[in-house]
Amino acid sequence: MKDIDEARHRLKGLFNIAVTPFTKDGEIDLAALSENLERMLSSGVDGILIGGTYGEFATMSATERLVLFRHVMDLIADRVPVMLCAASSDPREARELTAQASGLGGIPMLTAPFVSEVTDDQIFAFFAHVSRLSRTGVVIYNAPGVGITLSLPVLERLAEQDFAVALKQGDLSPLVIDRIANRLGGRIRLFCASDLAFLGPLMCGFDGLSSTNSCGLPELIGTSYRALRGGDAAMARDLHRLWFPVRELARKLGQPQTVKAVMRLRGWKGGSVRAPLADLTSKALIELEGAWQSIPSEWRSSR
Amino acid sequence: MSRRIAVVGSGASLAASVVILSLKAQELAVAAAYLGPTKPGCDFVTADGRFLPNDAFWLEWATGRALSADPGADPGSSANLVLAAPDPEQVAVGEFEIVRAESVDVSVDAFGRPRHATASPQAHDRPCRIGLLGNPSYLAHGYPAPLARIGDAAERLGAAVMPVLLPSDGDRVSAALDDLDGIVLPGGSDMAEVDPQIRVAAIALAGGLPTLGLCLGMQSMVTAAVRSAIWPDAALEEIGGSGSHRSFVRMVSESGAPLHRTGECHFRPAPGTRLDAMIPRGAFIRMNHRYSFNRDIETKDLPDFAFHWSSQTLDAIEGHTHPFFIGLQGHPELGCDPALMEIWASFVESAVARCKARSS
Repeated sequence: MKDIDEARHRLKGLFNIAVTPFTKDGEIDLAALSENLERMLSSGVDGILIGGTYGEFATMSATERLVLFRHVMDLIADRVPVMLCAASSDPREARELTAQASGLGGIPMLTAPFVSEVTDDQIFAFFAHVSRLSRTGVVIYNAPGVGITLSLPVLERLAEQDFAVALKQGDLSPLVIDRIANRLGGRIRLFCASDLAFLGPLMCGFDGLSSTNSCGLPELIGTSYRALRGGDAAMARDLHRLWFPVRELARKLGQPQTVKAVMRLRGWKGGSVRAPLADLTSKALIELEGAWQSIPSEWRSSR
Repeated sequence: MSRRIAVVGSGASLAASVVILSLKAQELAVAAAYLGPTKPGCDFVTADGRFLPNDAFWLEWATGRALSADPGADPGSSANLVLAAPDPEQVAVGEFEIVRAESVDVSVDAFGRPRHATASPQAHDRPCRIGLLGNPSYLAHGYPAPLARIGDAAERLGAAVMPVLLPSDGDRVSAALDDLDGIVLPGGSDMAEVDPQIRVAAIALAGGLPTLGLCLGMQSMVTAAVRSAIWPDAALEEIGGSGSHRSFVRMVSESGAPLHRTGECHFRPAPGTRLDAMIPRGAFIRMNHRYSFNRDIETKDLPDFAFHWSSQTLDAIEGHTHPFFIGLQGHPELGCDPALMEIWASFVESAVARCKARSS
């Protein structure tokens, strides 16, 4: 990807939030990651997100993240657009990761700075300042998990800027979705940051979905998404219902440990999580097996 | 690392021979599209229901990704392409603008699919012969998708297959069928093809010849079935005629406005059928039709067939006991859903089985 215009055109559709497979020793398993990414591309995703929250970026050093960026960008080779999470509690690291991500042809994704009493003006200035290092623009990641939710006025200010290519919206409550879809739609690409409840935001006008559970359920989620895009809301609804038990367990047991366990159920290399997260216990795995088996068999196989 | 060059949109019309070179990961695959002096057809329907020049098929074929909805808005979906031509200065490309041009040596295989010049031809035993009924020039050059998909299926199965382009206006169509192991009845808008297709479908139905129908071809197959069991004079409304028994009728809205169903739809086969076994999760298939099955026809009077319905219309028909008699209202030769190849592979497999049985 060469510039912001290209990023603006290509950022839409179903993006897979790739998990980062770790070995039992905590090392990044790049070979497993490559396998997983090729599977995602074959399943027809429109893009990939690397090193996000469920990619466990918070447990990786900047060096590890850069190795990840380079490996993935070389593998994907522009077949699909790639968002590269450059968020960091250290703004200096965020700047470095942003510059590297853009230089590799990806689109850096940034959260608000991890500062508890930062003002809206300071948040805006942070995004404006860091994005100057990117020739492909930035994705604004409005992730409540960092402790700061970007207000609608800040989002509207950001949407006016050339550098803001997309918004990945974490808070998906109906009022927020309604306002974002209708006040920001058309000015910035809108991504629903969770596949747990994506039907509403997409029907309200969001441009895309970033999905972690597509790592383990690419067929079901991909078909559901495409059905909705094609206007078949009933099919999308029916398919979304099919994996409710897995979703409920994911909410209870946490991510990405749950989706990694689903991947292992399918014989795929999800790997382990890094501390402070922990892989699912034996008891949890039994619960997951039950939820998995409740999905009709044609959606539990690769064919 | 493979080379990546973006191809962006423009508005010029296709006017000359073009060669498209695609690089997929570490594999070199060459796509060639040769155009004659006439303006190419625009029967290639995109996922969102737009129409592009037919050679756009090669872009999806090479990259495995659906072309973008917005003209010029998504170079990424064709980002694996290098456009090459004998004389790049003379090439103006439909929806695409040349970013870079270079000369390469290409050849095409028996299915019109491009192959790198260094690829060696394969020697085979007596090949399985699969016919495509229609205008040979159109099938070979104008609308390359069905022929290419037969090749893709043959390659996947490792089967020796020889395509036979069978002119439908020839005197010896019926005799030619005796020498075939399978037949494809393609889609299209040439109504002169309909009667030959219906005749061939009837012969194939009676003789157990594996048959795959695409869009109009499916309608011909259904009409052949209806003629054999219900109305001997059944005909497509689209071609007129004096009879009153219509197998396919104009689609209209509740207010009577004509409908044209285009773009990608999700096709879910009826449970327990052969198509269900092939694609249990269904498939995304491109649609381009204005006529649909006449719901006044009682399908209970056609017990030898399974019917696959969508909320809108009949989307597929299949013969219960026939070796392979499947027609789809959509275009399984288009689109990027891997599930569609299951249908082609199953069809070619049936043809190969017939070939082996005849050879033994």
